[in-house]
Amino acid sequence: MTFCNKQNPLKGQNKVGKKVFVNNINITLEGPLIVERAQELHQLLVERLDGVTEKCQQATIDLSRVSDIDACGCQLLALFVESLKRRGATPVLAPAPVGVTERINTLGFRDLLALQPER
Amino acid sequence: MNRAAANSKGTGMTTPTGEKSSVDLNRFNEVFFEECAENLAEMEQILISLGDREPDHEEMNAIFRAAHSIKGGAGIFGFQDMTVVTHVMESLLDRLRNRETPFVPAMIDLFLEAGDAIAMQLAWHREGKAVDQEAIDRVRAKLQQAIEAGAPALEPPVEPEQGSPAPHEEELLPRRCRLAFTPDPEIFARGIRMESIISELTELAEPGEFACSARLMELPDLPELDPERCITCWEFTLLTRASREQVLDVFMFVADEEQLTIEEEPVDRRGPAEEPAPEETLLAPAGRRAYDSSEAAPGAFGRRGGEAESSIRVNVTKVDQLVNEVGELLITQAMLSQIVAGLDPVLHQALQRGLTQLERNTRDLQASVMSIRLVPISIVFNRFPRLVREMAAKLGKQVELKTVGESTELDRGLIERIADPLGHLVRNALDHGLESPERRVSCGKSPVGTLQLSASQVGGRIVVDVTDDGAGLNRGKILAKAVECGIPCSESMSDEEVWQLIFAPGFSTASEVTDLSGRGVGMDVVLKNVQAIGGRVQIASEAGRGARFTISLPLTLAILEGLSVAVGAEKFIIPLNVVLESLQPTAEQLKSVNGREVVQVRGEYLPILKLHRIFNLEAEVTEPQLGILVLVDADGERGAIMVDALLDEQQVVVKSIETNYRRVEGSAGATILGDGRVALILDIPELFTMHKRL
Repeated sequence: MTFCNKQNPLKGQNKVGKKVFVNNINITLEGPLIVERAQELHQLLVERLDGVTEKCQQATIDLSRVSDIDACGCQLLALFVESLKRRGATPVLAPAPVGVTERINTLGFRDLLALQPER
Repeated sequence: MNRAAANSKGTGMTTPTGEKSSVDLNRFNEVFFEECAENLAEMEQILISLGDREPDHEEMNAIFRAAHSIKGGAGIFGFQDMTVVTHVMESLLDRLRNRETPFVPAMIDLFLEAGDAIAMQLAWHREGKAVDQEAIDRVRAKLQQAIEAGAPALEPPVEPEQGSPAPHEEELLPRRCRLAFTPDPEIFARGIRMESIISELTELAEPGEFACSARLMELPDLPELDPERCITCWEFTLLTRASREQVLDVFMFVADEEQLTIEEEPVDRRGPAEEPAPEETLLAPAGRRAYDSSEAAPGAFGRRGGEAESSIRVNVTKVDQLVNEVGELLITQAMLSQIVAGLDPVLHQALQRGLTQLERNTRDLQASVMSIRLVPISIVFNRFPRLVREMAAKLGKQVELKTVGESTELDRGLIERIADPLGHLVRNALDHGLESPERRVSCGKSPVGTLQLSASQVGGRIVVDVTDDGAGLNRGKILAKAVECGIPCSESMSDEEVWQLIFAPGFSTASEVTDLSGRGVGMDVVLKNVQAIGGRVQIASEAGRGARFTISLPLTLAILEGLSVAVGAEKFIIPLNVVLESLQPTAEQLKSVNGREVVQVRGEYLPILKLHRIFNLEAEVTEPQLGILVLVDADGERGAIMVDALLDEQQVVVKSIETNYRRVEGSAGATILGDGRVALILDIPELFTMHKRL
């Protein structure tokens, strides 16, 4: 699993401004979000959360490149979503591949990880 | 990736895909392995007990449950290969119990074969043993074939007998089940797959009647969260016809008593007016078994029935550690006794009284601790019904196997090591002892031969008998064969002495070498293996009436009856089971053969093993006639060990010298004596080898 924008956190985000993480941010997750990579995922989500300032209004979590997810991954993602809310940001989960969406629903995280309808 | 190999490193969590994580999965996998082995044993036991008859409803359910549990556990723990055979087997069993496929006796062998295939896969994951994939594919294909051959068109389902309950009567009424599952926080780290649990529940639900919802039980700050710790709980709602037990089985390996609650509500589709009163709703904690949450490996999941309250599963290493510590306590107590023995009894009366009490308590504690390591011999006996069944079928013999005293307990370490010698004796009895039905009838016997395995505790030893009512040992044949093999013997030998000849290496009177036994390497191996664990084998036989082989074993390997001897300033322990006698030789008894010193005892020349020379010690006595010779017999080889003095006959606590120091050639371990000194326990066969090299 890799996280896009790791090298360049500005890439794909707040394209108009120079400041990092102002207003809307976009976080793209990639690869399997599973227990075996929980530590890595956790560390990076914590880093992303640290970058979310009070000015941030919407945080879009792009799951389109996620290849797999398990209960541990769902839990971490759900807590990340809650943490974003606590910081005043509105988390938006962008569509995931069908298999991942189905897995999220099967695991009972449909409400906690309400995904945007696929465009 | 070879999972077993990866696991054996034990350095971190290895996932089914071979990736590493921070948690050691081994301890959790071991829970599944043990449960799986138990389920396989239970299944085999039921199948063997059937003979050729069709299992009744309860037996069928028990077999199904065992297969289902293995499949479920394998899926949850990520051993997908193990779900393959179990899945097809489960399907066939399901068809059988629903009378969709007619039962044929050959299915029992097929299920046994399937059990073997699963056991093979288990051994692969557990110990890295090779898997014969072709055999697994073959079994799977056979099971599939049986399912297809028994399609409904083949035979109409048999109507249940009048008055007897229809199969799955209890499953016919759909119920609404609400399950609240609060998992162990380590469920993720244990590699348990929630999706497998959910998938199994979905299978139990009526189509479209399953719902699952997850909820975070707490909302810690993200940086504070241990990402592998589960803080999620689940609620499942399903409409199902499955029994409560089937639903519980899904959580067999994962749910503790407080972690799962089930609410069941019958669904009456006749109308709301007849809905059951609210009090009929069942609400109960539904976990399978309580366990100590502080236990490192929560291996307590999944046991059935009342056993839950009466036993706990403890890691063997913990028990061994306890045994070791009690051993240390015994040594300390012996040291204190030795010190106090040198004190004035009048002045130190109270101290001596206290010490006597301590001795009593230590002895009791030791007995209690040793009893923890004891397991019933039924673990070994249970392997034989199948062996007997299969061998009897191959040999065209009719055999009834009886077991007596299965609850007799034996040290866990001995259990595994007694299985092979016992198997040999059983195979020999079937192959060579029991006659064919025709022959038995012509001798006026019942065509069905009897083979009895019995175990009992006699004094401080366990006695296991293998008795058959066959032809007995043939004295003439044995003597003739002994002559042929060049083994010293004579007609004047007593029966007991003649029977002992069969323990000579390569000895076999079987006229045909079969693939079952009779390779001529059997009985000497039996004797060697039994002696290696401090046991003895005796034979009683009566021509035409049968034979009895008696194996006598010590209760435990952790404590040894030994003779302590002195050589110079050192002390050694000679295991008592090899000691024949001790003597102070006269000059006439001492001879030299090929330059080696021997002692002549009743016409037999025995080599003299001088411990001071073997271990390079300074001894007070260097000449045999000034010292004491301890005559020993190990694996049929006899010799005389020269020592300065005999000190005591005592029970010693066996310690591994390799673990605590390094391997010392000629020693089988060490012990700590009352004075705190270490004494080597002699390995007599190795001493013989060392002596020959000198």
